[in-house]
Amino acid sequence: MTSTDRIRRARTTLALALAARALLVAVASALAVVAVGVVVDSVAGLPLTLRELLLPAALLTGAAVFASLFLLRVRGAWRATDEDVALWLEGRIPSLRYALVTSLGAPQSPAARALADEVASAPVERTVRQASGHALWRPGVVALVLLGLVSLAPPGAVARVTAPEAGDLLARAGGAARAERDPLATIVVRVSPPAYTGLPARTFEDPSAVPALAGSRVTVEGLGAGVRAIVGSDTVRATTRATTRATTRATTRASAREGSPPSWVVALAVPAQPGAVRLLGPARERLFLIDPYADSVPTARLDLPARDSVLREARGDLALAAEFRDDLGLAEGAFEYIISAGAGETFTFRSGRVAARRFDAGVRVARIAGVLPLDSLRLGAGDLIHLRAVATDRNDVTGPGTGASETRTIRVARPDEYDSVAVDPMPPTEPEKNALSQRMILQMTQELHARAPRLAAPVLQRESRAIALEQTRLRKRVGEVVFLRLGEGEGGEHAHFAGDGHAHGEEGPVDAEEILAAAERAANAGATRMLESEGDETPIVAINRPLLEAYNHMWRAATELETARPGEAIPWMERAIEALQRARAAERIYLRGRPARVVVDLAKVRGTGKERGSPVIRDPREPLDAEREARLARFDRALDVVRADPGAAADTILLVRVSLPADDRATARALDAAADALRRGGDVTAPLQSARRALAGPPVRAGALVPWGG
Amino acid sequence: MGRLMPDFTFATAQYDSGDWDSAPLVPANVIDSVARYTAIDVAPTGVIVPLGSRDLFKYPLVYLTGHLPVRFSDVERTRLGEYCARGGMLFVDDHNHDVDGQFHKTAWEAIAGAVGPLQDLPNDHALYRSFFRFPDGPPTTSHELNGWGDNLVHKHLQAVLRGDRISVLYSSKDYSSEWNYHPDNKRFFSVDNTRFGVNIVVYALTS
Amino acid sequence: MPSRAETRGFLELVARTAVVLLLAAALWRVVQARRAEATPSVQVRLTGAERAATRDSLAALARSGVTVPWSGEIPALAAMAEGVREPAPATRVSVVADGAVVLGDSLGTIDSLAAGSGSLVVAGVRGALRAGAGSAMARVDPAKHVAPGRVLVLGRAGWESKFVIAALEEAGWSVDAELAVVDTLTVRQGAGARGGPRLGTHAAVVVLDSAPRAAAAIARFVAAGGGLVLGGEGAANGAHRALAPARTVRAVRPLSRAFDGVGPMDALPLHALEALRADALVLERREGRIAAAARRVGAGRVVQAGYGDTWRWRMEGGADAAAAHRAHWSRLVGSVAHVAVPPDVVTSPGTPRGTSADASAEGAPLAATVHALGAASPVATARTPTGPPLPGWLGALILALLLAEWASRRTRGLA
Repeated sequence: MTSTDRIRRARTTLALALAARALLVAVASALAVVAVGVVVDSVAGLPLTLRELLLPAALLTGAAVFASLFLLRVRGAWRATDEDVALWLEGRIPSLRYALVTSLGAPQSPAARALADEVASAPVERTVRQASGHALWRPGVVALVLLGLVSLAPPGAVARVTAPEAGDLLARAGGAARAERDPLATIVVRVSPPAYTGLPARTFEDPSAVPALAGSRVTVEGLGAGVRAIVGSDTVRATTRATTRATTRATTRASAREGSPPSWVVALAVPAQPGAVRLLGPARERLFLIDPYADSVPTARLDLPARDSVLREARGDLALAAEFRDDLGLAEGAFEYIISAGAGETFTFRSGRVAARRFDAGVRVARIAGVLPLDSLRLGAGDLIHLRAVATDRNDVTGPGTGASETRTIRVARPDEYDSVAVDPMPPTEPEKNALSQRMILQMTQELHARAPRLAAPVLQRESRAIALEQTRLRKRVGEVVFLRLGEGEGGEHAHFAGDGHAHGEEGPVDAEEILAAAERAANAGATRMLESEGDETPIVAINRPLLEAYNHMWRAATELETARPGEAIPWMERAIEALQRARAAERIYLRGRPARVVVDLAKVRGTGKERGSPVIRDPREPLDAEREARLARFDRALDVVRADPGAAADTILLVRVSLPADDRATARALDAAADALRRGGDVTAPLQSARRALAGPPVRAGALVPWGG
Repeated sequence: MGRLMPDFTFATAQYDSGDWDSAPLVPANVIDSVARYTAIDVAPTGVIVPLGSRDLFKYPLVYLTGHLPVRFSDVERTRLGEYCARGGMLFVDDHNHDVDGQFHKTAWEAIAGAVGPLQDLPNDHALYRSFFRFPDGPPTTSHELNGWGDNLVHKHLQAVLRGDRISVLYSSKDYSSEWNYHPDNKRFFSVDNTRFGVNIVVYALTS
Repeated sequence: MPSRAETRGFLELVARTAVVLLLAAALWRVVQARRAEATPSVQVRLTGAERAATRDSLAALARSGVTVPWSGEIPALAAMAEGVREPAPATRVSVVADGAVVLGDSLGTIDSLAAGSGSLVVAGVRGALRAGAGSAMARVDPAKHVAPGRVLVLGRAGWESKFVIAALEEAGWSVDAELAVVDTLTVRQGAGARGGPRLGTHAAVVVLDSAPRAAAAIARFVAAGGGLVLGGEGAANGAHRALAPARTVRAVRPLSRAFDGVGPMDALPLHALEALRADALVLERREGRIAAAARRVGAGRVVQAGYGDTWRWRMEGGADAAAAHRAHWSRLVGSVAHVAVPPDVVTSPGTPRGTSADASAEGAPLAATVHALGAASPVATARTPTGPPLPGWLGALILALLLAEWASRRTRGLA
């Protein structure tokens, strides 16, 4: 083996040793982070989120240390030249007296050959081994010591750092000693939602209040033994007595888990109403609250048909579309219809479902579509279809919850009402079509108005008149709709308007009031006395007045356009659109005839009854919240013991929380926060102030009676 | 100054889905009875109030009837819930007198969604002694005695209560048919069959 | 004409006399300084946040002969607390100050009043109430709550009676009622409704219609200390005209039809009060017309509130209208309700009712300080002598006069 070979092997050995050293230092660094984490967690109890970061932080530290050392040291050693290695060896083997370096410089020279024996007898390998061992033993020992320390720590304590999970509070170092003194010192509550939800279990450590979906299973765990649980309280308000009944059915058991230290588990069912769970230990008792919440029922939105309609003939298919949503999962959706036929006392009903569809687990938003074949429903004149979309959720514990959309009513018109109600095809209705057209005309006019300054007068006039023509056509279409409804026939417009331009040479706006009054007289003809409608307008007027307004605004707009003034026409067009929208909104009013109006002659009948009433005793009604003062007083007592016994104060506040009305969620949250703060320790002033304000209500500014008070 | 509004105005609820105006003479008949037996300042005619309008709140007692399915719109549902929470009372009568009928089924569902579930009203409730005494509970109607509709004589009315106060009173007895005649014809009856209507009004006005 | 020697002799006499007088003045100053040194004095600087005990100590010191001049900018501040006469325990705190006031108790801050004066009704007060304005701190103890007795409501069957009773009962009042359905038939509630109100059973009576019911009994009740609310149509009830703050009323239509305006009362009909009695106090006005007024009659109180159909406020008003209507009627009745004060709440003579027997309670720190120690010294100066009894200029003047007299005499040849 030549000198060069020996040097190169030494370099390789040294580089590998340095790499191993870097690895050992990295491992030791990572172990140090873990060990510090275990110690700090044992003393102070680190939160889960911090503990979850510890292992990645340790690995990151190790990797960073290894990378740094590798880059700084190992790579340097690997890249060292033969001369560098030779010099490094010369420095550690003085007996060489530069023989190695000399032999490298000119290996074939006589001087080199003379030094060959000297070089061959030099302890190069031993020197390299010693240097490598020296580099490795210190970090190795440190790593071993740290590994030993971590291994000697309680396994639960290390697991809290290396594999943290919610609920591992019980595994914290010192837990056994604490549990021996007080089995209720630390509790962990696990909530397992019903299987249908597919939701994971949630874990709460030392909670004051535990939110739980109705139907969930709740287990309470702790270390130690001799613990009992009492669910319900004699201080629970009457509305929550059901809680007591419900939870007495719950299987309450305390069992010791295998291994040391012993632990206890209590299994509970979620009550229907918020209820306190009283844990009784050998030394003390402890409360926490189970706060149930319900699975929301699905919501349904019927998109098609978009609105109530009246059909001239019940033929063809009616398109259906709906969207469903649920918080946890939909089970089924369908369209449900009821057909009412007949009149007076002889109504008959048929009902059914179409386009029913089941959904896969986990589907929270779904759309369904279908058709309702009107031909097959054998609908007659005057029949009504009540149509809605319904959905059920997957709740197999307290449900299933059913949600329904708004109901659309589709009516088949009777022949005798063709001239008094809208019998146009289904959406878009006639007024809406007009509105769309009017919008198009408006847009054209706005464009022309914008271009007007750049247009020559004859061009502007020509284009403006073209739009005016469209506006006039649309106005006549609206006129046809109005006069069909008012029973005048399509020629009604001409018959009614003395100044409509066709019959008399000059067009003009209609007198809406006059026409409506005439229509009102015509509609009421035959009815002797009419019941007064609560609204200001009868249905005929409510529907037709805005159409007549639109008609007049269109006339104004066309007039402006005729004189090439598109800017002045725009406001009239906007008013026309607004009036058409109102007409569309008024379409929901039914024109089903008006009941006879009877005015009772009070003066005549007053006191003429033959029978006499008997004296009556009225029963007093309960105060709105009779428990409020009691809750405030109990909260005040909790404040009395805040300094001396925060745990007892927290328990008292939880009992106040249980007695709250079910819908007072804001106060419940404030009390939960106060109880949590008391359990955590530290400054509890702010949460207690918030809780007091929620319970007592905000201060009220006294009014005018102040000077009179006292 | 005369009063802006009389102490009591009979209001009939107009809802979108059904034939809300199926008993047009009931208002006049009840008004007649209120005037006949009490000194209550009552308006001579009834009014019609859309269930989805804010005008509903002007009439703390509202009558709702019909034969057809009752499906409240979102606005109607919200209004009715708020109306009852503020102290309003809705009197619902099934003009079909049929517990298997669509009015009954849909009205129960609609009321439960808007106000709360209906339950049997005890026959010793204050309603049955608020003016006239009805010791056996709600008076029967000729329609149910004749076996029309569901062929049942209903022992109870149903109600949604707030505390012990009635928010929604529900009847399957078809008072809408029983009272749907011109008040002038009352003279042909030996016993006025609208007396229970007076109880409902007096109860609403005093409890 | 005097000779020159005589003139100089006269001037010498003047100089001598002046010296004697100046010496006498110096002697007086010395005596005064000695006397002042014999009187002890404590100079204090106050902020207004001192406890009453501290202030009392200083007052005691002053009375024992020690001079206690004080200085400091104590902001003007006064606070008063009284229990509301309603079923739900609460404290009405009234504060007057120069600037913003922060209100708190032993648990912490309750609220603040930016305007510097106002009144708040607070519930759940713990310990003494503190009102801080600048450096000053007022402390008042909330008065013990005494629940008032029953309320008797008289009216006719109608929405107003129904909803007034509902509001009062929901607020916790125990209500007796008598509502006329027919002239001879009334809906009654509570045994106490028969024969009118009785002190000991009822705290107040509310009249909501114009029927002359139990007028004599109500007059006796009010004279003995009971409260009377004449509300709505009851404000125009002629049977109670002798008790009412206003002699006549005038019916006024609502200002608006809807309750979506600024004030819900604008949408209500009003019996405007006119020809107010001299001892009546106006509580509320609407567009210049008197809407509510009050007066004391005998030992009792009467409020006349002209707003009618307040039930429409509850039914037609905004989201909080029901609660506001409830609070309105509860406060209206509470403002006149008779409360039998139990012996343990009766304060000693001279102590205003509602104030505390606790020595630490102090509702007006500036007033209390002035009362105890007198007005503040404009500048913090000590009354003890600050210089020598004989000032230098005085000594120099005396020496100059003596020298001048001696020189004059020498130049005249006198000894």
